[in-house]
Amino acid sequence: MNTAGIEALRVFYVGNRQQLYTYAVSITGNRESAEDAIQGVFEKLLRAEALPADLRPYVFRSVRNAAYDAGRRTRVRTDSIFEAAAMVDAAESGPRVGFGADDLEPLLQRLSADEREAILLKIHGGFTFHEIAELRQVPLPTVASWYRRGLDRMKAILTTEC
Amino acid sequence: MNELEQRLRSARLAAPSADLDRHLDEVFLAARRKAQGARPAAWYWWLTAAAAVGGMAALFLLASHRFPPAPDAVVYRFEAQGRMVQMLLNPTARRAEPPRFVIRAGPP
Repeated sequence: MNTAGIEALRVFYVGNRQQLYTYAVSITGNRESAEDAIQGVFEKLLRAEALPADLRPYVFRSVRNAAYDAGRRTRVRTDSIFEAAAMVDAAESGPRVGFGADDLEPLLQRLSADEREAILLKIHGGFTFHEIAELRQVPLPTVASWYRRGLDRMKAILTTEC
Repeated sequence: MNELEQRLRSARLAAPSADLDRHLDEVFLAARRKAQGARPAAWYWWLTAAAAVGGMAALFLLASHRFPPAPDAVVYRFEAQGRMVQMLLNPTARRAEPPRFVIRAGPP
C-alpha cells in the first residue's frame, strides 16, 4: 500500500476508533479481545495492496468478524461498552433520575445479538439503516425491525421491572 | 427520538486504551517507512522497458555498422636460389647462422 493509503487508514482509525471499539466490545464482551480484534484488522489492512472503495462498512465488517473470532476464544465476557459508574448528565450534577449508563448494559444484554448490534451501530456508530443493511448484508427492513424491536423490548423491560 | 435513544446516545462509552493507540501508531509508522523505502512496481517496469529499448538500439547500431573491407593481400613469388635454397631446405643451418635479408625495391 502506498503512503496515501496508509495515511487514509490512519485518519480513518482516528475518526472511528471509539465506534469501532464500542462495536467490538459489544461483540466480545471483553475489552482486551476487542482491542486485539481491531489491531489485527488494521495490521491486515496495511498489508493489502490497496484500500476498498467503501472503507467504513468494510472495516466495521472486518472488525465484526474478528471480534466474533476473538469472542469465541474469550472466557471472561463481562466488560461493558459503557464507562463504569458513569451516570449520564443529570445524575452527575443532581439526584439520579430514571436510569443511567450502568442500567443500560444489562438492558442491552437482554436483547438478541442482532437487535443489540443494530441499536449500537445506529446510535453509537452513526450508521443509517441503509449502511447497517449493507454492513450486515441483510435487507434494510430487517435492520429497521431489529432496531425497533430492540428498543421496544428495552422499554418493556424498564416498564415492568423499574 | 425517544428518551431511551437519547439516554443511549448520551451514555459515556468506555474508550480504547492508550496501549492500542500507541501500538497502532507504531504500526502505521512502520508501514509508512516501508512504503517510502520500497520502489513502486511501475518503477521497475520503466527500468525494464528502458533497458530493453537500449539493448535493441545497440543491436541495431551494431548490425547497421559497416566495417571497412579487409585489403587484398599482395603476393610476390620469388624463385629461391643459392643460400636461400639452403636456408629453406636445411633449418639447422638457419638456426646456427641466421640469414640476413636485404630487400631492395626499384621504382614501379
